[in-house]
Amino acid sequence: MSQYCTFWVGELYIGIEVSRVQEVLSHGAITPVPLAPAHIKGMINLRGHIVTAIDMGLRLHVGPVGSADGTMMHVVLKDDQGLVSLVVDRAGDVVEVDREMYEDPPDTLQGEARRLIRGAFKLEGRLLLDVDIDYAVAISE
Amino acid sequence: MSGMDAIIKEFLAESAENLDQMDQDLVVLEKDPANQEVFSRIFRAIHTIKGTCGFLAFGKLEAVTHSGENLLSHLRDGTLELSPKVTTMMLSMVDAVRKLLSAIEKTGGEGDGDYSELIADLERLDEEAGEKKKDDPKADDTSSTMRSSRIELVSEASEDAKETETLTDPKAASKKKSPSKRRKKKESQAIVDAPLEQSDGGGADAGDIDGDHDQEITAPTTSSLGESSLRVDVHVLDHLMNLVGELVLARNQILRLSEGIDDQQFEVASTRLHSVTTDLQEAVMRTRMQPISLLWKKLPRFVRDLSQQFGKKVDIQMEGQDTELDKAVIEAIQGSLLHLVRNSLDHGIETPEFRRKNGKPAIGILRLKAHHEGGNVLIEVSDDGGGIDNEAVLKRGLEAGLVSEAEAGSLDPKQIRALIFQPGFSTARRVTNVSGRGVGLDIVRNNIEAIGGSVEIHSEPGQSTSFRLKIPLTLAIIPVLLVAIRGQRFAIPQLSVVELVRFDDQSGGLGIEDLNGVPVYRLRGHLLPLLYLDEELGLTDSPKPAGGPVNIVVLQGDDRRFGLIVDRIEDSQEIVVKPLGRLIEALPYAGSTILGEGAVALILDVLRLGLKAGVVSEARTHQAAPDEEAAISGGGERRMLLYLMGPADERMAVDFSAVDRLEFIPASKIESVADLPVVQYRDEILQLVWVDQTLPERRIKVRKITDDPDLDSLQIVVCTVDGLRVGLIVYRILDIIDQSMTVTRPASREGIETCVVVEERVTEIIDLRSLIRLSDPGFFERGMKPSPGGG
Repeated sequence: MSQYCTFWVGELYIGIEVSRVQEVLSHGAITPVPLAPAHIKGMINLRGHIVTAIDMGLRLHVGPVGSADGTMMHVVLKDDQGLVSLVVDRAGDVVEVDREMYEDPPDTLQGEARRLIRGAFKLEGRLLLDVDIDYAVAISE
Repeated sequence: MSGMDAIIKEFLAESAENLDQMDQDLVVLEKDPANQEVFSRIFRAIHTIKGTCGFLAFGKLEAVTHSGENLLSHLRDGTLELSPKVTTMMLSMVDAVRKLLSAIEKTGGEGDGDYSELIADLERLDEEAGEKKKDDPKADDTSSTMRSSRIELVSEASEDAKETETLTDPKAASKKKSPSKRRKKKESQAIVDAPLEQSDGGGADAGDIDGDHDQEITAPTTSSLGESSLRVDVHVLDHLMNLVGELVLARNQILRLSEGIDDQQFEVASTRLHSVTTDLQEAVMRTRMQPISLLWKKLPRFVRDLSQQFGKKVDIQMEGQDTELDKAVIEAIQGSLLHLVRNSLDHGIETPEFRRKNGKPAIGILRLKAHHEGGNVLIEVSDDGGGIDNEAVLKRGLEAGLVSEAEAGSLDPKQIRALIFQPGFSTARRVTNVSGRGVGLDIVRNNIEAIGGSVEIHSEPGQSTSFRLKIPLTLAIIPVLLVAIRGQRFAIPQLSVVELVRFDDQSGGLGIEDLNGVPVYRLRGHLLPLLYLDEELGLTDSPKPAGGPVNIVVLQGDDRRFGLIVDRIEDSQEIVVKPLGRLIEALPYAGSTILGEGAVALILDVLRLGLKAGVVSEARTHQAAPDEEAAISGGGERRMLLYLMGPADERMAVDFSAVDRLEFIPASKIESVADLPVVQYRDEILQLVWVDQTLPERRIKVRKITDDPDLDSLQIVVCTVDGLRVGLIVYRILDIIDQSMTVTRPASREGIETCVVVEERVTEIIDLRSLIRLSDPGFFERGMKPSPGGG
């Protein structure tokens, strides 16, 4: 059993290992970065640290986040390169998942989506996507 | 951590600093044996270590330092001369102490190193000195007595310091000592992590209980920064900085709330909170900055050791020691800097014999320079040694398999020099134990690039080599100008800002003019190319503020000035440079910062912005690539030229520095005075020169401009030559270019200075003086000065 922090990007229900997530914040002031790739939403001030915010909607090719009702959340991740914030539509609960519930994506999933989505946990009623977050935040298109 | 551990930790940290200082001091003392201040500092340092380790029961360490101290006391009494041998001995003593300390740090014990030989050596010198003392009654003369009495005081003080540090309750240690005195002594041995206030420390304490004592003790150290500072863990500072960040946000909320409350007292209080918070934020940010001298002070010793090892004579010169860098940056570049110094000593500077033979002074010079430049710190390590031998480099590159025979022929000097940064490269004829193992410069480059910097080499064979490190100021504080464009704020490093120009475009002035599609502004007679910041940043979607005055920030990008048009110039601030977030490295930003109210702002990289837009030289497409390469590697002079086309499609150019204005006048306005064409221009009479008619005929017969029926207005280039103004009538102006002067041919005819190739066209550069003389031989003699009001 492991714990996943979940969030929605458009219709996609995505999970990240809880240990990767530093904190979840509500959306605040964001400074856009002119000339940056479109999915770089901008930079935020997180208690004195400057954190790049990535529009996960654009990154996952489902349209910009916040398009439904304008609300957004930041899921802040910490890795050896520092902090990065995933801007998502809405944050979900922390769920417990089991390796047994996991399945690789079908071969019909192609292209960039195939690189991003490593697999899915078959939860009751819906699928929780296991996204390769390192790939998602490392590649600037 | 137990009390004892804390004491040992403190002892280790402090001793390490003392030892670094001693390294430096011993080298200074060797050159200047009469320097009492330095001598006392060495004595005090060694005494402190000896005293403390005695207390902590580190026997070996005590024995080593004890013999060192004995030797020092003979030096003090004048019974021993400070010869290079003695200095070397003292330095090896310092090394032994350092080794012992590192063993203590790692294992808690002194390790199993054997120092008896060193001690024996030290004692032998000591005995020699002791015998000399018996023979030499002079040792007791007045001056040496005075000298020793002062040092006694010093060592007494160190004893006190040791005492107070090692006891947990200071009051029990010595009730009669005032707390301030105790603090002071302790501080006198600490090193600067957080420079606070200086200078007034010694004076303020003079009135202390035993003030005379204090002053005597502290006087020698006033220059060492040591006294008004204390040691703080960097993590504490980081934490403090984050807390201040949070405080700023809280303050902002309060300020916002206060707007809705009509209570004057509350308003006063919140304003005060505002200003105090701002000051606090600034102060905390500054604590992380350290002068580069912290790193450089290790070098004199390092250079001394190496030059002895290589049999070379080297003088080290330093400039810009006060240049401040973030602590983390200093740590990151330390290894690379040492490597470059080592490289200069090993491969750069030649042996004294060789230098003398080649007419150079026997003593080589190693020069270190540091200064802030355009949001970066530039550190230069240069030597006056043999320079880089491109042929040797190429040969070695071939041997090491870094280039193939086929490639080798096509490499230009710059590319050849870049080979020395390749892994596996080494030109040393012999492999020394210091450098030349084929690892090194590639690692230096990697390390510098890893923190976002760059390394450049400049070398003149036989003369000099210099490595220039450009280090970003990550976390450093720089003054910036805040500007706004389309509602977003950007910071521009003040170092790049030359001046600000503001004018009302509606007032009927000249304003922004169009030069063949390039917007320019006439700034005191010179054309300034302009960039619209919103266009450069692709911000044209958001609405542009209507009307209003035009704001131009005049910037210096490398060797070129250009103007940046912004909506609003806000104010000037000191900001802390933070790294850009990830994924946005390749854009024209030098970093980011958090403004007072917590908003993030990007810092514009002026040079990159200019390069991107093509107003700064390197990116100009007009130049043929080989020219550019040669110019960058220092091979050619660069000039700004006004690029002209003649009536037969020939190309000419005028040195842009002489150009004041560009005007159009109708041909009918041209009058004739004594057979010379003139025009009434801005309340003065401007003498004109028909460029095409004046230049001697060439083989190609060219049409005369006035024959051209399409031309009802003539293009005039107003120039100033030797303080006199003259207008050149030219056929057409094409562009302003920055041209390398490497590919030149002698002048083809009179009135021409030289020929260069611009965009694959042979271009004649007009020699204004000779052209004017051709048109009017008496022009300069008459001194037809422009009227003062004509500007």
